[in-house]
Amino acid sequence: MLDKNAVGRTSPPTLNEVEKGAIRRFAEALGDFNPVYYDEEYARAAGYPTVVAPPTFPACFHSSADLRELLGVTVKSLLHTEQTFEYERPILAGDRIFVATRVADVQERTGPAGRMDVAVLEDEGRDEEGALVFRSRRTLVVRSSREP
Amino acid sequence: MPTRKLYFEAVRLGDEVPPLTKGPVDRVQLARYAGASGDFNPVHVDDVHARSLGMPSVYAPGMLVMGMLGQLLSDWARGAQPRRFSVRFSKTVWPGDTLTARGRVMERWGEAGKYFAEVDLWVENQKGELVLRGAALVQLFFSADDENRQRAGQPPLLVPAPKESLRQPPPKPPEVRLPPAPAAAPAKKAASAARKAPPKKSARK
Amino acid sequence: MASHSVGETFELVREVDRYRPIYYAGASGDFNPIHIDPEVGRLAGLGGNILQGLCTLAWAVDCFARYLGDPGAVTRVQARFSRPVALDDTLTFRGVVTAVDGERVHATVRAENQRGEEVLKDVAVEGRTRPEGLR
Repeated sequence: MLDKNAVGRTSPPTLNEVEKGAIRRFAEALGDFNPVYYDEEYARAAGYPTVVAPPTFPACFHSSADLRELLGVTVKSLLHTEQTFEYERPILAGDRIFVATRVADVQERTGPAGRMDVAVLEDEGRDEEGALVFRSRRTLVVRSSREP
Repeated sequence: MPTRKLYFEAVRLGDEVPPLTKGPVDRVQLARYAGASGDFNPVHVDDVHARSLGMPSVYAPGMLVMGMLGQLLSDWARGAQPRRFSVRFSKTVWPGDTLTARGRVMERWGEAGKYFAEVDLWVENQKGELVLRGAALVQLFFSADDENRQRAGQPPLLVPAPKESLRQPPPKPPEVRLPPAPAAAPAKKAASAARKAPPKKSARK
Repeated sequence: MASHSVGETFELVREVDRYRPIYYAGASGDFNPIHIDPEVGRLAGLGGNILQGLCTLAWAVDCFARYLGDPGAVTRVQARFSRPVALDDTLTFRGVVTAVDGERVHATVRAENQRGEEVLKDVAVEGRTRPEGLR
């Protein structure tokens, strides 16, 4: 069972530098060839200062979050069931974004298959001035064993 | 270089987002996504590992499929700023699957010179099964004129645009919805049958 | 003081885990399906997906760079790919210094799998001797 006290636990912010090459590789992986992700001139003509990242790009940001530490359990398997992004502004090449992960909620659910835990983790990305850039919420079904 | 843009004045309630067909998904794409996202979870790239867990093969990370839906959204809403984008994953995507992403405008409104559209979004596989359902809120300029004014530092165009909605009743505040328990087969079936027609889901009470 | 002499040897062993070609593809952008998809590798008569040759070469160079003590000191690399490297292979790289010529060290590296088969041929590497004071 997940520890209710885990709610609110937050990992220290980790710097993510948004590189142009990383945006290109991410868009390529999606098979999305919109030039705003590849071509600076095109992006400027479209109203951005430089190339912009696809909407789900925060999926590749890392944070120092260790699920074992945050949730206080040894995670055996995870099932990602829901995902939400909220954007304050577009994410641009050259951005330096600090990402911290917070345990937003934990719940327990018992079904015929047995007990399962649901954890909601919220990533928050802020720029160097501390302004919010995005929020990302993951709902995970967690199968775990208690920390030894 | 002129780029096509979507403006609020052109968005109508019930508009269909032009569908986007992607795939078939293959192992190279799964490897590319692993490389680009940094998520090298072996269930997405190692068949031997996936089979050891009882899966028929590797499968696509949900975020890859959400990314494809993001392409649909961005292609449609060029020049607009996504404000919120959320999905719920309902079916596993396997190598060989062909996916079609679709969407429909459910609400539109303006307030204080800011204009918004909310779209329902979903992805179906080649069998017509729903693999993912979501919604997005985008902020748009009212028109090219509005965009030019704002880019020149002038105040936005103020055009009355009271909320129009296809949702009945209006959406409740977001809640955390638990996935159905794996063994609750009948309930799940009913739920996924209901999900097959996402635009009509407002019919649920 | 920095000293390299003809006949000195160096060695590195690397195991090809199943994720190696995926990681290497992610880092290099070489997503050729014969490196990723076991079925494509089988259809190509390779018995499954195989490691990128440049990854094998990178390890050969790493073996030499470790001997030099500085990856920035490697000045020239040459090799031919002679045999595909399969997943779960264990590769052994054995280098020997063939000439020391002023500030240059020349060496050859032999790369073979666990069956003693050569996977790279004619590997010649060249590097700068380490300046004194860095040691």
